[in-house]
Amino acid sequence: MTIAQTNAHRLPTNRDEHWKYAKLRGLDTHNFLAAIEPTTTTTSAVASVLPAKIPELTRVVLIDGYFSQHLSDPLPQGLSIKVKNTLPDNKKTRSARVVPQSVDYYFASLNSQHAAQVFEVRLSTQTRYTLEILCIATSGNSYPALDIELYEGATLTLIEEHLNATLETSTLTNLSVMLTVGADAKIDYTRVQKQNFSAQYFDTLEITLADRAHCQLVSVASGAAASRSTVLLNHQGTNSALQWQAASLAQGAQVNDAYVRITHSAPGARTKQMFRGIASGRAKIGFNGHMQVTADAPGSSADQSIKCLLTGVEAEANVRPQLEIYTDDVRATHGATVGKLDNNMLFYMLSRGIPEVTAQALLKWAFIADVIAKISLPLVREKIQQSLSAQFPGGAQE
Amino acid sequence: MLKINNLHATVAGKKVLDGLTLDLPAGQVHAIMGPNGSGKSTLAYVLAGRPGYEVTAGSVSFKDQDLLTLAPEARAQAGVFLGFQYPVEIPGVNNVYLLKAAFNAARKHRGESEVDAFEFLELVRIKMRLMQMDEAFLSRGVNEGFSGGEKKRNEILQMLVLEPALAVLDETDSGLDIDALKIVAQGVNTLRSPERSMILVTHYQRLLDYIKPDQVHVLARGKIIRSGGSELALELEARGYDWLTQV
Repeated sequence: MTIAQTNAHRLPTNRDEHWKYAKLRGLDTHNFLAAIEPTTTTTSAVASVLPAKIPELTRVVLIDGYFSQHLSDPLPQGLSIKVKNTLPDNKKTRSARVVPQSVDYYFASLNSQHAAQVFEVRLSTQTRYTLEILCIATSGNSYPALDIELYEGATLTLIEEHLNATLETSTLTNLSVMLTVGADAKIDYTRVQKQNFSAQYFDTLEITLADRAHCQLVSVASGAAASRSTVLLNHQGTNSALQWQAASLAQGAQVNDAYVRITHSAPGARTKQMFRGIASGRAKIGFNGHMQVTADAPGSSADQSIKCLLTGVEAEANVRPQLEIYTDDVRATHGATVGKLDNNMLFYMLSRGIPEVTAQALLKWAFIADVIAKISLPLVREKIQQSLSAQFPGGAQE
Repeated sequence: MLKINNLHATVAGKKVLDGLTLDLPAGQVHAIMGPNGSGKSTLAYVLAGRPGYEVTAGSVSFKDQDLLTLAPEARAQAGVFLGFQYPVEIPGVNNVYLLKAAFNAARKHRGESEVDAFEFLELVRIKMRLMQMDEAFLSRGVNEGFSGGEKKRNEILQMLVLEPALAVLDETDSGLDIDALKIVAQGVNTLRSPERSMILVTHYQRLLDYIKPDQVHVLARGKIIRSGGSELALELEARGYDWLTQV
């Protein structure tokens, strides 16, 4: 099945405002077949590449979007897998998007058509879970689909990691996550994308925050030949809070693009957004941070800080901060910079005898340190630091 | 220790050093004074190898090797230390981490094994007590949010830890109150030894009340125009530079 047959709506192109810097080449002829259910052999192969388990996390493994009972921990009550065609009719949230609202929902729509399973997480009132979801892409297409809802007062710590089973196989991942955070509920969400350098990766994350809901999101993207993240968040409830931090690290010829639209639709909504990107070699980073404060959201605050570092002669960063405000009662700040390593800082370290490669690595590490520091679980933070240390030899500070 | 011969240097195409010659034997402390724009900081940067400071003629020999052929980090590893006039803030790079990395880089250069974090912390604590610095400084970003005086103390702390053969201190006394000046001077004096040499770049004689130089040089228009003992600094304090420069 080709793209033309999958949907009446068209594939995004670089002419679309929010897709200018995404790498989309080749998608028009890509065959978006549903993923193949993993065999025992595939599962065994994945087992051998899984990262070491962190004891305090309940592990869930999805192979090409399919839940692997064999590699996952026993599911606690409240977590379930729904095979797509058994979803009750009143839960049409995914299939309703078959005709997408806009081109930004295109990949989510495609996911809703092809994902054979939806991994559903429901946290009852006042419950607490700590969950690790590993999404492993092995070959061809992969459609992980997560549907997460936290009811009133629930707390979820979620680590979501995207990897490949091999270092070379070219895969296409199309992840769709729907997250609803209920009144007074809290999610602490860490997302790590480190697929191999042949992979293509797309994700769509839709978040709704209810009254006094709190969402802390840390995203670290360093993998895939081409990646694109679309985040569409709505502060639907009053006094909801979002802390959103992302680090994007691109090297070689990688293209890493993100569009984040945050809508403040209710009074007292608060957003703090921080993006840090480092592009080296010929890599390209795109970031479009679009914050809207509607007339229904007086008393909101919206802070946006976007910084990119270019360390390659041919590296490129395209950042776009956007604040769109329709109320007078708002506190908003925004800033965006793109620059090179600071020569004064570099010389200071060299003058102390620190080798140039290490000094540069230390400065790069320092550039994203504020994002990494927001990862709340120490073991997860250390693990991510270790996995990034290859990219910053001598830079990760213990 | 250090022999500078007929050194010429330019910054952004402008001639700043114009035939500077200086001989600094091992174990000696020389003060370099001079009016603004005379080339004092340029000399310090040229010795440390700062990019943009181009040597157009002359030579600098440090412990019988050609210093000018070495990269900045190689100069530091060989034992050259520059105390900055304006120490740079590096948010996100931990103070103790920078110190340990610098300390181990020098050890590695000497063919010695690197020290671990625990061992290093023991060492640095001793030096911090000498500089009357709180241990909390170690976990902060390099010079991040430090006051002017704290930055200068941090420079001397780094020098105490690295124990360089040649220290070039560029206006280490500027911005210090009298108590901080005494502490900084104490740190410097602690390191004085027959194997170590120092250049103190300063505007004011008061630093030399606490650190007694073996020689004082006056730098003007990119070259040394007068040298003498510590009494020269007193004379400069009393008479200014005009009587030397208006020739």
